[in-house]
Amino acid sequence: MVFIKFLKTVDHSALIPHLFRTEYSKIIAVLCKTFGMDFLESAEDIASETFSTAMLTWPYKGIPPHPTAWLYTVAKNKAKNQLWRSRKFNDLSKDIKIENHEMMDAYLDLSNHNIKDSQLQMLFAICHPVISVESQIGLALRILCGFGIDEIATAFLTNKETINKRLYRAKEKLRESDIQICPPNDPEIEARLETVITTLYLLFNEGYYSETNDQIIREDLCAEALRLAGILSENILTNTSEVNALLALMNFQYSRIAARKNNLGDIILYDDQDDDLWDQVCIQKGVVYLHKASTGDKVSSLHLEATIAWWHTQKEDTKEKWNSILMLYDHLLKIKNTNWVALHRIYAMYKISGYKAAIIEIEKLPRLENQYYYTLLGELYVHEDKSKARAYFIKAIQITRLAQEKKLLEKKIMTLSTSD
Amino acid sequence: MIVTLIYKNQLIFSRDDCLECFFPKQCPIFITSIVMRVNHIFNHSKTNYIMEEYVLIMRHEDGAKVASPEQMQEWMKQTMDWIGSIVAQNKFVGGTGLPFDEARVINHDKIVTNGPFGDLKETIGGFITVKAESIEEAVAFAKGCPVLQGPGNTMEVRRIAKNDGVH
Repeated sequence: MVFIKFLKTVDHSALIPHLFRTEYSKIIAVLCKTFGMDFLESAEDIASETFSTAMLTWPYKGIPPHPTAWLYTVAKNKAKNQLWRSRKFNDLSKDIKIENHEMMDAYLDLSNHNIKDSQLQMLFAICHPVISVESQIGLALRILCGFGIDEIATAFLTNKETINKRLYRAKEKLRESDIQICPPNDPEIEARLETVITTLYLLFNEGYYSETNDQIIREDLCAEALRLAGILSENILTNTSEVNALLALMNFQYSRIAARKNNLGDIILYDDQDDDLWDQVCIQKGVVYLHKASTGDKVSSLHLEATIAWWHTQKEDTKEKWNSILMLYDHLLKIKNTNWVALHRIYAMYKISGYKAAIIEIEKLPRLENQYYYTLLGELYVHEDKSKARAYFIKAIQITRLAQEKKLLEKKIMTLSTSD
Repeated sequence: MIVTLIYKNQLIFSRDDCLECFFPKQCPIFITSIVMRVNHIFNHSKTNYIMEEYVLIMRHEDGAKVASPEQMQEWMKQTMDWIGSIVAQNKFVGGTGLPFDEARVINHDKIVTNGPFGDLKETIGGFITVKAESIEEAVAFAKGCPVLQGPGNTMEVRRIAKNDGVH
């Protein structure tokens, strides 16, 4: 009869997807908030060892009734053992004097409230201008999202050694600069929050426009960026109009994640997407955030981008839609003059005034060595000069590293020849 | 429905369900027709009679390797599926994982080292005990172990000695 009991305990529905990844970041955030940045590496080890203990127990004994609580108990015990053994804690933080195990319990507070606080403070500590934005994203992925070095390397299209080195240097820098893990104080918040927002914005884009062929990692990056931005909006100090605009933007974009590819993983362009697959709940959430974002008097680039993204959730191609989008891009170009914005503005112009006007505009731009530039050029020349269009598409194929994008461009070239 | 099993002119069973099998619904050989049902009971009595116990030992090449939380969860899930499939056949006896931390190796001169890393390349990550009709069946179980996905990792299958005068 013991087997029947066993079968019942090994119920996979009890195993929350990404449980370890989620708990990894929580355990580290709480440990580091308590013992400081110096404890970061030990905290990473403790979290890893906790899962390794689960891995060596759960398959044989069954999943415990409260998996999360089980993990916290193990993590706490591991932390206690390590601290008692090394007796290093008195050097770590001068404020903490721990004389017995009970006192340690009070410091290792894995309550929901303290976890949220710790993650927010950790987010501010990691998104610190003393380290490069690339390192900030890498560290956020590792420490706040629980990604493995392999997964980060895949996302950045690089190898494990590069990521390991980058993260190691970033951690050293944070330690040397004596970055504190504490609630950002009022006068600091505005300046620091801007860095945090930029990092999350880039983290989301890393997923949405990533050149990695690993679809799951791409979606996970977007979901994690959304989750971290959610932490900001849940705290009264950081729930600013810009944070809400960021959340609106991310939700509008994220709503199309499922519609952007077919069963084979091929890319489906915006115009060809099945809008039944657009996640209406996500869009509604975005609308709520956009509404909250419009309370302040400041119009940031995020506000404009979120509004553009909202127009994209309206499937119907109306004149009003593309006129509004063009106007918003005109405005955006004034505060954020990047080639990326310029290309998108030209596409909007093409939608309203046709390819001739758009070609004139794109020729004004300096030549950009990216696949989006050449794809748009090809797209515009389809109507004017087919051989030119073909040459531009081929150029884009040579540049892109994404297999699905190559396939899509090849399809475009195919349609060129058939319509001859 | 009463099922009667007569094997070699001897009455072996006469009852209305197969009590040999703890979970007929999951049992791959559970079939409703009366004849097959007799066979079913027969198979169980047969297997219970001649089955041996084997230990399947998971050997890792590098026990200290650090995996990402997501990988760990995936491996754990695979291990659960693997054990679950053996449980479903009523052939799982028991088992455990063996944590690598605080492992010690005692040498013949009684010198204790932190191990099993270092000189020894290989280390045991855990084992399970199964019932099987033959070494081949035990090997088939071992082949399903997710540990084998790691290059360099191996499974060792050993029969457990019985104290019955036969072996």
